[in-house]
Amino acid sequence: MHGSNLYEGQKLALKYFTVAIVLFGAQLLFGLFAAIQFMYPNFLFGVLDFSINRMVHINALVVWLLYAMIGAVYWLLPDEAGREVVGIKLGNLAFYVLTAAVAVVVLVYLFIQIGPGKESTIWFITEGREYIEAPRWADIGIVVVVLIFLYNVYATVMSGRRTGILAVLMADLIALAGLYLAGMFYTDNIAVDQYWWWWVVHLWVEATWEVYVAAVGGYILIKTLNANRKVVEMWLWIEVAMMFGSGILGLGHHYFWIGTPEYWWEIGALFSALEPVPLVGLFVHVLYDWGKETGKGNKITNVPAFSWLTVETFGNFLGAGVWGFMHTLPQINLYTHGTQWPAAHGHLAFFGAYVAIMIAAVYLAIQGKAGLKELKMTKAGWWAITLITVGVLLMTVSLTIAAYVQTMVERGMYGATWEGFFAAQNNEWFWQGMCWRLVTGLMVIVGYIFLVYDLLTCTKKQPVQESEAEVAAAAA
Amino acid sequence: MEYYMHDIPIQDFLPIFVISAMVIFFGMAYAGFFTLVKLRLVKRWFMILAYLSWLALVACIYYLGVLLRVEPYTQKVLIGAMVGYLVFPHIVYFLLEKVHNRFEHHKMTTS
Repeated sequence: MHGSNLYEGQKLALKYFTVAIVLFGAQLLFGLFAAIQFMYPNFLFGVLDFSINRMVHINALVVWLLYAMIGAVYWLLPDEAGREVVGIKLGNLAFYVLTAAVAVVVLVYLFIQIGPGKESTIWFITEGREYIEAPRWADIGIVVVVLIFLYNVYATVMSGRRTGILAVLMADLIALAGLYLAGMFYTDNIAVDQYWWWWVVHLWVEATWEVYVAAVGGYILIKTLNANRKVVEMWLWIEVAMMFGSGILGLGHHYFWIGTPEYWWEIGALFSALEPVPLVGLFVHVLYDWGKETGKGNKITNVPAFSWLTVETFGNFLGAGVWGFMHTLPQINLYTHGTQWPAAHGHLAFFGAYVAIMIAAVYLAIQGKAGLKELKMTKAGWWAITLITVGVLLMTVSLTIAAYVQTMVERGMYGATWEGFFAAQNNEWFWQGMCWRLVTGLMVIVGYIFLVYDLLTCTKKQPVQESEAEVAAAAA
Repeated sequence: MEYYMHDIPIQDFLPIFVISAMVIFFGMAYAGFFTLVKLRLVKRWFMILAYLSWLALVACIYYLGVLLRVEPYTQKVLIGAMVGYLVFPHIVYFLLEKVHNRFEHHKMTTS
């Protein structure tokens, strides 16, 4: 499957991956600015305020992951369905429209940082809801683009081969798209508004995205390890059941303090405690496939992709599981929410659960584009995975130290008062935690530079090998 | 139903964070050792470590419940969850093996 032999859908996937990696860089850059501003609040003040930096940092993360997710689907869709993507021209048009819209939205964020909050602000500048700040015109555009994407996927699968992976993805994409609608309307009551807002933020991340990752992870296991499809697909259904079972009502841990009834304490605690179970399951699954397939003599055909998948398994477990459970139960969450605890958890969980597997998917596409039977790890690839992974892990530890100070001083000693907030902010340990967060952030950026370099050059640095096309020609 | 949450003294914060992390670690250790032994990637006596991890998990959950001052209803739920988690890797591995064997058998008889 050399570059010229790619399906049109896979060529479209490469476009999505390219924009995703660029936006990944933007996410890191704005995160760096925000990290500096935590320590030196005057840095870029009045030019690029902290509120904007933080917003673009998080929005860039969400958007690049969505780009990479759409790219991964376009990559595996023709391969799994055994046919070209239906409506590919429409798909290409949607890509350019979405990319132009994202560029306009970000420019508006940067050029109109402050101003009155009017009805027109919601429509043309920002909706103001944390993490999903896109103005309403962009919201509507996103819905149209996603509908085109859904049409492409459904029409292709209906007229092609229907695998278990595609069946799970089809069901999941409906939920993914439908939930976005919950974040598109306002209510006068802030508690009711937050109630619906969490449907997008939580249910996307801890239900539909997790299922999506399990499906793409299964595909990567089949491709890199030649894992048994029946086992992968059977396991996928178990994971889907567990993730939806624990993830949907795990929503309760966001309803502890927003004005919703107190029975959410029990529901949130119970289902949050169950949420790590599918992550343990995912860990067992990868361990099982690795043990079975390498035991049979199967070689790993894409070492960088499999390495990132391994990082995903452990990172997801540590970030979402360990760091999530440490501060989620309501009794302790009373003292931890609104501190750096969620930041520590969020950084490692997003990296582990989503960033790592999307990079694995990009490496898979790079291998397919070059038509290589095997993709070995290069030195640059090794530096990239090491610096980014260790950087994020240490960043999480730094944020945890800062968070612990806030919990003890601001919440425990001062009882969540204004005075307590500043006492914690001025604490030496808090300051040092934020310093180390900046250092580790720089480490991640260096890793990102290695990653981009490796993605651009790794296929040229592989030992000489027959391409898939040559092997097929020789067999014929 | 009345819901009530007790205050937690600040000296309990650190043990709560550490024990919560240990809950997840021992949970993974139990499932991990269990799978590795079943796959014969490590010696069989490692299964002892798997069950010791589960016992440590139960102890951590108990201590966490004490530290968080959980209600009697939640205590019962936690006991049920621990029994369920003891069985969980057995069921998962059983299902994986069944599918694997059926597929391998099917492949051999059709080739």
